[in-house]
Amino acid sequence: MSDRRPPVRTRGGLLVAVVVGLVLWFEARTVAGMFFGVTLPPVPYMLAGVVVVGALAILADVTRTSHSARS
Amino acid sequence: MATEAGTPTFANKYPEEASIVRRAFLVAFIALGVGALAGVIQALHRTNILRIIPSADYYTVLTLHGVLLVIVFTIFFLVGVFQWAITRSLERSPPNITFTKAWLGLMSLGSVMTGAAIVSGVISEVDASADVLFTFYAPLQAHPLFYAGLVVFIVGTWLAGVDWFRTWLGWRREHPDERIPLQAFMVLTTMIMWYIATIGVAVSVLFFLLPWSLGFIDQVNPLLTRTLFWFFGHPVVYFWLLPAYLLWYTVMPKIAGGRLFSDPLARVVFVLFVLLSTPVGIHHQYMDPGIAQGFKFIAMTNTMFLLLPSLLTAFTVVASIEHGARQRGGTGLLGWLRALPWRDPAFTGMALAGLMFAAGGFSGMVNAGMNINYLVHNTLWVPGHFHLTVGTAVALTFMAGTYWLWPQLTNRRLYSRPIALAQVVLWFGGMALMSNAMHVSGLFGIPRRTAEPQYQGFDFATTFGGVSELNIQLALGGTLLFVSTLLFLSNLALSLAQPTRSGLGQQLPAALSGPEDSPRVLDNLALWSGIAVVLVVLAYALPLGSIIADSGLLGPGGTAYPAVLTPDSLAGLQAVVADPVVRALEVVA
Amino acid sequence: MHIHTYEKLWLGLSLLLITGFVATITYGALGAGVEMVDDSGETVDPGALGEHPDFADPGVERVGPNEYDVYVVAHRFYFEPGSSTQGFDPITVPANSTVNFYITSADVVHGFGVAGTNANTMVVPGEVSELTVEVGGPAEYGIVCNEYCGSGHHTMEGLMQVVPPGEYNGTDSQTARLGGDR
Repeated sequence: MSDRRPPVRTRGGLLVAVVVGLVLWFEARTVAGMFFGVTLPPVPYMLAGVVVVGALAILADVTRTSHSARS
Repeated sequence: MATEAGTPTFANKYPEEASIVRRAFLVAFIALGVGALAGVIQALHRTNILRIIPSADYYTVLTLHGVLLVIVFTIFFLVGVFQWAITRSLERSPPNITFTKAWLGLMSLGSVMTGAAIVSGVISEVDASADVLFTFYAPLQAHPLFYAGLVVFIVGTWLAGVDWFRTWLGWRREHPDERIPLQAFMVLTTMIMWYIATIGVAVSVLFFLLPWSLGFIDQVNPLLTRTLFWFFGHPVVYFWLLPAYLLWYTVMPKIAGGRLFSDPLARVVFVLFVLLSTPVGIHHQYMDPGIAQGFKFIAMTNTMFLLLPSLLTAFTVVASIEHGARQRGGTGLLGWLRALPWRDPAFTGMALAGLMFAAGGFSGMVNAGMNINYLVHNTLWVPGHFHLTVGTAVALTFMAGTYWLWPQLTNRRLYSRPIALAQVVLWFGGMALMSNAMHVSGLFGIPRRTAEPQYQGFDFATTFGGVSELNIQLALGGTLLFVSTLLFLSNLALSLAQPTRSGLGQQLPAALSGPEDSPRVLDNLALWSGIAVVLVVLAYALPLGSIIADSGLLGPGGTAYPAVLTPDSLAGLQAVVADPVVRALEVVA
Repeated sequence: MHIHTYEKLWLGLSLLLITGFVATITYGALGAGVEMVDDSGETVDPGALGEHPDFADPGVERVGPNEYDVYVVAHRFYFEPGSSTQGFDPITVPANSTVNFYITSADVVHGFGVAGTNANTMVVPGEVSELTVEVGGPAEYGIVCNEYCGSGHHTMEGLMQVVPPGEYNGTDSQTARLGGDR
């Protein structure tokens, strides 16, 4: 698509999975608040999300069996 | 990314048409940029985080945001994509390229006229304004230039449809027994829907609002003009959505490495939109007096069935990309997701847009839920909903589609794919933040379309979050969206400076299940048009008749707010525009 | 036309979902009895509300043992009654009563939304929005104009006070005409 190489060779799928995971984690807080009346403090909760989603991402990366070089 | 070496690009094969598409996209993206700037100003203003304009001017900015983004950006992009699609799929140029340039010119002229009227609202030397928002409900009145510009713009789009129908008819003479190629089918059915849809707003503007703003008639019927607007106002969202569906159905499977799962079902979906898009407009008027409950109930049931083509689209699109993933080596019940080209911003953008659309569809069902609508009508929930649909499903797909199409229109590679990927992901995240805050705020009764939702006499009672937390979230999300827009525009701008090269052509594969598997009646455009008209007459004849019978064609009374065409305002306009032009001509002559 | 089995299944589930949505709303209309604002309100001349028997002097009137009619006129940029921050009476009704709102506009299209509740309607000049609300226990509600009505739209607000029955000091329709109090 372009001639420029990215500065860090990331896994596109992992980036998207992390972002989608964080968004779902964030939305879960709204569900907890609006449906179950449980108000979770925003900043600690999102930091926890970064940790959890990040850990899952690292796990997925180290356990991957395919190393497709295709984009 | 793999390219098919030796495939000529669209720009190589159809240079004049590619130029039309590029020009349409240029106008679209300028509108996107200005509209996005307006958006971030609004997000920071209404949350009381940063106010750089007086609150009265907020409504000028909001009008600009609405008109630029959902009229200019979306529809200019549509005509660009459709011109590409119909030329490519019929392998045929328009019958007269001058006619093509003419309709594009009309659309541009109309946009400038309406835009000038809106912007005058913040120029104190010019006594004109159009602070009426995208819906321009009477008796709020805009300067006649606002309405005239809309007329010119819409006539331009009508002529675009004529151009494409003529192209198709020429193709049909040479291919008498063939099924209409899918992309051309999508273009033509969308335009049929558009012709039916614009009847409402055309009648409202041409027969009532424009003559009223010029002083030829004294008053208009607010409920009647509102109802005629929403006759148009619902199908226009499908005018925004169907180009995105065209990209999801015909381009996304290819990018995913596969083929469209079912051509026939894509045709069925577009036919359903022709039939069902317009007879539902009253679902925007559930809270209106003067319209009987029975009409509202019918609009509700029709709207719920309008969920069907979108659900069918979800199936077909996911099936198609699953096919692509398995072609790329993906295995497993869900594991195939990993094999998709997530590093490709065109694919990822469309996938995230589709994901967000699912959420938007369900918040739309709440809006459609007649008596449930009481809780959300005119609250911030409603913009929360439509920023997921037009703001993401449509806008993000358009941006993602541009990443794929631009090299084929310019013979230049994109400046940076990683930045493009970051851009689409940032849009998704920013929109999740902003839209979530809007939905929750709306449930607490916080209104939309207001510069300062902070009231003196009371506070909003929140059961979750708190107003300041929701405001921060909204402002943060809006800011991220603005940054994402800047990334998109600058990436494209820098792409223009890339060297031209060959080998950027792309082919679109045939569907797995082709048109020959579907009944020929699907291609009978006259039949679907006829049925659509009948359904619209059934949905609207009685409500419109009853409004006119109850309160008259021109309404029971009332004045315009503000009455703009006074001798003072004309003098002001003359001083600022006409006199300098005359003086300049005198110098030149 | 060949339709894949999963596609048929999906189509069936989709239609089921849609039918479920329609059924839910139908229940809301027929079972729970939530009526929509409709055309039962009369047509009025927005420029001549001063001569209208009900809207010339809008306010709260008792019309039954536990039923009250509230006439409201929306203006740019206040509710009459309602906008207590601009010198008009707040809308005061006793708790646990039935309140019939009759709302019209003297100028442009407004909205009338009782924040935090589902009492919400458009206010269109020339039309009267009729809305019947079952009012609960004592509380104070903000009223928001939720349809853009001009440059001062964001200043347009009101107050609805639901007071314990003992504290309600209003008039019923007969005394209002006579000008006396209860």
